[in-house]
Amino acid sequence: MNIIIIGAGKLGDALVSCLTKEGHDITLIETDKELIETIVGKYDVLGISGNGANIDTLRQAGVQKADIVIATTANDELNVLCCLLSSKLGARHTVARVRETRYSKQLAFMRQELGISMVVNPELDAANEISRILRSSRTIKIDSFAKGRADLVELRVEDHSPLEGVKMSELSSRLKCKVLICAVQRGEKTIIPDGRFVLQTGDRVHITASHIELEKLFKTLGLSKQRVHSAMIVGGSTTAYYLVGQLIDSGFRIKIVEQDRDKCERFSETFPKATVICGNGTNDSLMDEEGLGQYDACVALTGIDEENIIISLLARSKQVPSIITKVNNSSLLRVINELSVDNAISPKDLTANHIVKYVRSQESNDSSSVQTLYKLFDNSIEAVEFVVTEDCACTHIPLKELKKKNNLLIACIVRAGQTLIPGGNDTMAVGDSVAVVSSDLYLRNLDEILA
Amino acid sequence: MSFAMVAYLLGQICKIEATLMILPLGVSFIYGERLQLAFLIPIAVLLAIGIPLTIKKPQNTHFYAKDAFAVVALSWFVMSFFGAAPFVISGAIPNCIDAFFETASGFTTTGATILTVIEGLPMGILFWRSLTHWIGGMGVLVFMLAIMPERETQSIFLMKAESTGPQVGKIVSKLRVTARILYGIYIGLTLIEFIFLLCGGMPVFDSIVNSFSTAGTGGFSIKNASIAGYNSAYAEYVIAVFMILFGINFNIFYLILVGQVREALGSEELRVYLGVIAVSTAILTVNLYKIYGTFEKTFRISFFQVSSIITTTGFATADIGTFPTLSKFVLLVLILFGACAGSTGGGIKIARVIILIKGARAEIRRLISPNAVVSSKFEGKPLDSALVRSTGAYLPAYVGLFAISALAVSIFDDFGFEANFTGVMTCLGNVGPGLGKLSGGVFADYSGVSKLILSFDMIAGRLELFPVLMLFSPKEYRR
Repeated sequence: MNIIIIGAGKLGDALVSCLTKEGHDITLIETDKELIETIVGKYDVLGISGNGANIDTLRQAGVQKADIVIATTANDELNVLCCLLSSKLGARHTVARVRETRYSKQLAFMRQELGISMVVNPELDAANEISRILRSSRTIKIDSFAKGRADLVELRVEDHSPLEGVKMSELSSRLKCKVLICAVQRGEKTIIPDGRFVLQTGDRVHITASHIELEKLFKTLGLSKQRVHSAMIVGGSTTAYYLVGQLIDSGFRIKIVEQDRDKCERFSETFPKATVICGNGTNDSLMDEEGLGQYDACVALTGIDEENIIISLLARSKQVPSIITKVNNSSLLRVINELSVDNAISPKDLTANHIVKYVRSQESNDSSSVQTLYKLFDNSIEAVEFVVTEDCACTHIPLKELKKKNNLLIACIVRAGQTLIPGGNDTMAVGDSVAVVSSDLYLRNLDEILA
Repeated sequence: MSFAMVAYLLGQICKIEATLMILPLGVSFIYGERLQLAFLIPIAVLLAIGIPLTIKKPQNTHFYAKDAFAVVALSWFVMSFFGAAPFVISGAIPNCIDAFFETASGFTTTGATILTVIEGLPMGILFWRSLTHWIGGMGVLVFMLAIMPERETQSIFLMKAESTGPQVGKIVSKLRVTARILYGIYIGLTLIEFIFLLCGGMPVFDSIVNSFSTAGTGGFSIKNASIAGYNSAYAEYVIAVFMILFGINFNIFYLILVGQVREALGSEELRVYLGVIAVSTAILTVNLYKIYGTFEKTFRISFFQVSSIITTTGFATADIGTFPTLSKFVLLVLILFGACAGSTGGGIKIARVIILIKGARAEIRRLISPNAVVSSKFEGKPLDSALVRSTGAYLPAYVGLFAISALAVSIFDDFGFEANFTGVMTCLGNVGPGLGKLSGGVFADYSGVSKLILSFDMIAGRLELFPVLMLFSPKEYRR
């Protein structure tokens, strides 16, 4: 598809990276010439220097024939203007990033009344994700398929864990629960395991299962339930603003640490129930004084990745049970993997994935298009959910006889509300929700799994 | 530096060259020549190198500007080295250094030769000689980008290192599609020229090889007297016009194809290029009138020589050695200027000349009134300082390489100031003919060392210096 991306910030860069891999024709509009040079050197895109709200620039970028225009400049109003102009000039779909809190209540209105196909807000996405983790029973990041009927969870194989040394084919019998390991990260490598694969200490794994089976697994692994009632939030960013609102509504006890006095005052005005501390979150003695160790959770949300990582390590040393870290540059995580930051959230990647899913579902317009999309392990593996339709060629054939492409795995099938971890003799039927885990395939519909 | 990727891409280039050699092999087969071994041996060797190198794609496909520069520079040396084999094996050019010079001159579309007698060589060899022009014109790496599958390396730096001009960019968002569009235009124009020449009564084989030589703005001819050997005013006009067309930025043809004719014809570089051609032709016509007598003949010869030199082709319809000094001087300036950026021509490029002049003019105005805010425009856009800086770096490098080479060549050979001076200039600018002894573009009498230096200059000139200079500064790729 012809896609125009306006603005080469963090989100723009992530989108270019994802969408070029999927083979789209991408034109990037950006005012900073040097930034364009860098991106054009890295990815196969056409760069145009100029303002995305300038009609001549848009025409030069071929907006008349564009399927999707995505506006991700730093300025919300500019993004909306870019989208309005583009759709008047003939672009089929438009996506705008609008992230300022003062517009957060009118996103739906803008989508309906201004004709913008999708309005994204990375900070709000991140806040939703974090509050979901904090409100879940074990503060583990759980993604779900088929409207919550199947779960996808990431774990690390610890020393002496029951998972250590387990062969995939013996997984269910050894652990006494029906779960499937669908992706493994070992060192620099990511693997989609087959039956002969054996787990080692230090592996990071993604597991699919139903709720009940997952509970059994957690019990086997000795992960106890722990409700979070209080959270220390470091960094008064926009994400923090959304998050604090949501957590206070769910009755959490909240303390916010922020360096900037003005921001502190604004927080304290908006959220009278929260305690606001003006100070540096990386300051050990300050955090002691504020009782970081007594909190159930610590969320590091400053604007600087490195600072967030340090804050998380500090929280870990004080035995805070759940720690969530905002890390935008996810390649940093590979470096600190050994230090194991458990729950890393990247607003940029969350939103990029939303948009990629949207783009992919626009591409194949039948009902078997992508339902949900998660990217695992720094975007190297993806888990995609499809609904099986009548015209699908894969139905009623046992999975072991299906001529599938390499490096993909059917991770779970949800049929009539029942979650099935598929074996070789299972089949797919019309109406099923099917989750497929794959690397480098960029599936757009279910038939693309066939070789 | 990623040595694995460099080796992998060099392997691809070897395979491409082997495939291309099948064409002259076919030609020699058609003409019933016993030349099979001359092509089969290099094809076998190229495949023996290329296939093992490309059997497995490196795990780490990260690829940076530096790697692209190295790949491009090495490819051109490797291509010239193996491309010389048919000449040596067939006995057409028994001396290895001579054959290397001839092939480098072919691929870089210089058109300088060491052959004094061309007529009578086997058809397969003549075909290969002209085919090297055609391949080198648009570039073999661009060819590779066009034919490789989408998942392969799509590094813009490969194109930047091989294509000409100060600002190499894409036409459409995908590099592969851009490369295909460029080659599509290139093949289309070559075909049109072939048909025009055929209609004028030129034999099929001659039409093909002359189209190849024109398209690459090369200049190898299969007649001893070059294009003058056809005694056809029609052929001369056709070739002169097509030389000018191939000297134009290919992006302009694309703009015309997609209907943006106004933007295309508004190009500043195109206007200056055509203006320089018009003015130079006028000067030569007036200056040469006394020699040739009739207006039509004088105009035709002037127009042809100006087109041939400014596009750095080097075809001849008259001996420029016999021209008056004014005409010689005009042609010398044209050797230096060269054709448009993004064309198949060589030289410094009109775009750079414009940028340099505008930059200098702005600088002079700043000197005179230090407080003045001076801005200049190029192609309707403000001239940004990064472009002026990179262009400013190009000229001293060009002049420096020229001076060193001229000095070195003069140590080994003394054919007079005119010949040595213009010989290096013509090789660096990928033109072909020089002045004095070299007015026919024949370098046969130069010593082996000089030929190697000149071959180096040709490749450096074709790749616009920096890739080749980087290859010879090991500090750059040590880590």
